[in-house]
Amino acid sequence: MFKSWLLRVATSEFHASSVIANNVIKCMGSPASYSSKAQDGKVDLVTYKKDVRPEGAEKTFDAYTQSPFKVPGPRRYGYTMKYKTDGLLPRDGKPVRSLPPYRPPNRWDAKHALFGQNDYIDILGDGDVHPADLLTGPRWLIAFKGNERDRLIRKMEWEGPRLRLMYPSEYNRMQKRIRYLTKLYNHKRKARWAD
Amino acid sequence: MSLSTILRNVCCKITMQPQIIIRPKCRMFQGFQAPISSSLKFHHRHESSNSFEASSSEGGNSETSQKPVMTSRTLHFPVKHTYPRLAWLESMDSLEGKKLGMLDLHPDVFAVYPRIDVLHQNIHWQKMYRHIDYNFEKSRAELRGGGRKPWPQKGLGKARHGSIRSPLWIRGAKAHGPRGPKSYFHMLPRSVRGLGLRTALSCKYAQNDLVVVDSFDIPSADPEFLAEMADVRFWGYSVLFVDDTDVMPDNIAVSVHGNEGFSLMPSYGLNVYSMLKHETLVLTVAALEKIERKLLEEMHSTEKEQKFVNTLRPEDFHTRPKKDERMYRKWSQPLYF
Repeated sequence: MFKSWLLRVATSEFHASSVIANNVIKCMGSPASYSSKAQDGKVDLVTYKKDVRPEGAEKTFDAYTQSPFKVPGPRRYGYTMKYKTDGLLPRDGKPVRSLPPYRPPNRWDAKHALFGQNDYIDILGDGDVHPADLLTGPRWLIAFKGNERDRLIRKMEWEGPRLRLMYPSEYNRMQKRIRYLTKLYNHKRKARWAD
Repeated sequence: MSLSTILRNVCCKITMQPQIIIRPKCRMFQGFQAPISSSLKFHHRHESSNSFEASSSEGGNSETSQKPVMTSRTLHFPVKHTYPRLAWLESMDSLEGKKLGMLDLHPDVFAVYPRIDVLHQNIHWQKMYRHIDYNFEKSRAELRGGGRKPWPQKGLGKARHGSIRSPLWIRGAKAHGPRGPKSYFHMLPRSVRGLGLRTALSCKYAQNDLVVVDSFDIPSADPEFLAEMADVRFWGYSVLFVDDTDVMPDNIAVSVHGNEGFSLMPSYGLNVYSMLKHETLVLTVAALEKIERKLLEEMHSTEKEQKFVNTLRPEDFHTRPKKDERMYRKWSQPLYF
């Protein structure tokens, strides 16, 4: 029983090793089978198995006639060798889909090319126009700089009646904020007075 | 008559003494074929009363004899500590152009010390005084909800919290966030702005980027022509043309419009930012006169600088005059007999 098992193992091992050896030999192959000599002597590498006809063989039917089932052309069609498989892989021109396409801004359209025009009109002009007269923006902020409370009070002065009528929520928000900021301001003032 | 006007009148009569002529840089000699002795007649500066002086060349060169040759210019507010700078007067009627003469430039405008800090102050002011920041973040009071205490103060083993809109919370408010439209308006002192203009002009002159032409009359409205002219004369990719009026000749207006990088401006629109943005500054003689005079007047004015005060009121923005409704109110009141 044991003998027969050993024999089986041995034979299977033998078979396996012979198979491996055959595979190795196949893999190594003979260099002539993977490269064909061109006519001018240069050896061009062939990445697929060419249909090679034995030269010395007879021109029998089997050797001469091509099989109708063999597809001519490269058999590895569509396969690309991946030389780099890890790390930061090259993008190879594939677009980044998460980013919008890069559109460089035009710095020479009328807005940019003429930026700053008339900023010195009080010096170079006739003296009747001031650069602050040419500013645009929210009306209560034109030529005005202040902290948040000052800005809100000024906005209330400018837009208050209109907001109260047409945007009461906005009016309430502003009032609430002014109340809060005034309290904050007076609170800090008191601390200074105590010294 | 104020002291300054008296001084000005006196100074106008004293013309500048002829000084050493500095040879302009090589680029200015581009397209200058005729030797000075044959084509240009340099008059002694005491003889000239007008700013323009015509002199016919004595049969030497027919090209330069067609236009009046400008040989001197009266400088207001002359100074003794230095000499007037010189610039070619060119024409724009052909690609290469002709040298029509030489101009004196006031050293206080075109040869001041290149104060880069002043340039930076001016550029920063130009960017910021018009800037309005519209960023806005709601406060914890303005966000919706958050009035209820999320869980009791004690007994849960959790941290104490009073509102889900506290800045500590996710989806809470932002503490000290940007608040509403904010203006960065401020006025740079007038003297600093004047100095900025003079510094920018001086830098342009020192770097050979200042070109003075007699007028903007170009023969063609084709933008290609102007582009080629800038190419031939080494003006670079961006040119700022400044005339003294805001009504420009058709040809230059069309040409400048068709060229990217070329801009056209009246003299009162000149500013530091544009001068530094464009490579070359092309002034007409009239614009040069006007700018130089304005800058010198600003420099020599004895008025105390007034602080800018904003006097705008809501009424200034009303498009329709406010109706006087007192009369209606009177009539709508109940009548008592």
